[in-house]
Amino acid sequence: MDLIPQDYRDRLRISGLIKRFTFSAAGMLLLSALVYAAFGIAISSDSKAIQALEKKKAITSQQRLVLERLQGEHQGMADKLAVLERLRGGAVAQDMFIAVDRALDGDSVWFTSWSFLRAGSAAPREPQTVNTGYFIVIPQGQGSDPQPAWQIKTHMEIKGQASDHAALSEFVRRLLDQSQIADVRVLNTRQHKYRQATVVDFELAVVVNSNRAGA
Amino acid sequence: MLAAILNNAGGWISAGTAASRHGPIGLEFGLYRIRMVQLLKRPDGLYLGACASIPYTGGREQLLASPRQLAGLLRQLCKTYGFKGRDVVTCLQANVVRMLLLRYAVPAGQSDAEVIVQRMSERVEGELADYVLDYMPVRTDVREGQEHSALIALARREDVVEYLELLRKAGMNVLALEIGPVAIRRLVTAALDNYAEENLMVITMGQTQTYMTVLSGRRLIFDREVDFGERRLVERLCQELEMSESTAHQLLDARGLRADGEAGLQDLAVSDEVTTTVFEVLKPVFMELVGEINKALIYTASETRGKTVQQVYLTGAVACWNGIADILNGLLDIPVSVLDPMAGMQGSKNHDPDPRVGVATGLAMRGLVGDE
Repeated sequence: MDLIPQDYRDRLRISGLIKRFTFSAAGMLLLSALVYAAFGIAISSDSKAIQALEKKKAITSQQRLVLERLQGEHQGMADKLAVLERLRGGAVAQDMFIAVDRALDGDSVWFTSWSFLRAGSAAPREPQTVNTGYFIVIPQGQGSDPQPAWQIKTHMEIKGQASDHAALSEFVRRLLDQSQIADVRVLNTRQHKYRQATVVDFELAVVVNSNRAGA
Repeated sequence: MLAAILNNAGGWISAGTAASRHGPIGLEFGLYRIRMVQLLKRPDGLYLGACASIPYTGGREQLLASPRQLAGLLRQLCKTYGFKGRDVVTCLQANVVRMLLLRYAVPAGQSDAEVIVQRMSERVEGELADYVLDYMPVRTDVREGQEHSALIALARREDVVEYLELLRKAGMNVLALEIGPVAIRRLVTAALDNYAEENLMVITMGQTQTYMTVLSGRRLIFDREVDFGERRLVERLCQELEMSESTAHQLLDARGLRADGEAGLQDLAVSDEVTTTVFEVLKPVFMELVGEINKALIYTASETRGKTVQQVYLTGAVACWNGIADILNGLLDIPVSVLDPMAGMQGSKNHDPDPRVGVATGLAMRGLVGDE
């Protein structure tokens, strides 16, 4: 025997279910909020870390740019240094003297003037057919035009006198035999008569073999 | 290894749970006391888990008017006496439930329930929908064409819902709402050894009312309310002996009743005189009760084909008085004894018998004994 009305029991059961559902939902909501808050805190912390890293990255980029600029400058300086080194290089004067000295034979040829010239001038990239110098590529000027080259020329001009043309000819031949000498051009010869003897005045242009000299 | 440990742990836990189970709390709001009983079911039988019988501080009506106050009291009792859980089986107060024995014929094609509803709708004031009704068949071996009979419990729906809501607001989960006689029937059938088919009468003597419940086997065949109770006895004592109500209570609680000529201890000779006097004063009231009991015995014989009641058990407030069983033994031709509600339980010798918690114990047995 039970005097609890069935509809009352059903109502209690349904309200109990609703209450349980509500509590469960509230619990889930609370849990979600807690998880959300936890994620928020974690995201905030990570964002701060990311910001710090981005800041560091920005600094690094800036430093990289500076580094690149400095590297460019360094490269430029190095190139200039190379040009200077090249300019400074080439045939060594001592070798020139030795080469000329070897070409001399006896006292039939003597010098009255001797000039040594090393100079550069801008020239197209393609080297000339007759290589009278060597080229240095200039780093600047990165346009579509062919890069200019810096042509280094080293030559000597020798003025002197020879006892006769045969002696002069022998001197020139012997000079050409020297590996340091690329070419010898006779610019001018003239007989000069003195009271006791006749001598030949001459002017020679000697082109130094720059490739070998600079090697 | 871990799995084995977990399996063993699970086994121990489930074995422990299965070995011991707390039943619902049997809750009865008596006229002057709140009574709560909780039993423990184990494989070897029922054990008393917790028991409380506490007088109201401000009266029953005041307590039942305030869910908050009731919740506080229930919490306190649960904590003090060790009640477990919030499930309760309770009964309505006698003044809001009406019980009657209904005889009816069941026409072909109709069920007992339909006939009962039809008959009761003719009896109640107003609409039957305003009432909550349940019934218990009294006779199950009815032949075709014979009248059926059922014990009907009827209460106003408003009162029932109000009571249920009161307990719900007090934090209790009401599993069932019963009536006192059903709880008494459950108690008797579970508590008494070798109880089989004989007819028994349980007399629950309360403060203002007495209920006579007759059981035949496991069937409840009769329940009747009589205007007899502790208050009426005390009032008569106060009137005849010109003493205050509290003095009369003290006298009855301390010395009880004793009929003239009964054997007593020699050193209690003076006491015997007092108790004999008390009984002489109260005897006319008891004789009225005996008259009602005899009517119930005649009815029982008619309902059980001449089988008489073999035993009368007493419960309730008056059953606590010393000598009450002896008094009624002398007035009736049937053995009378005080029913110990804990008699059928394991370890019952550890408890002082308190006949006042009979109904609460019967309520607490719901679901623990095979009577449903």
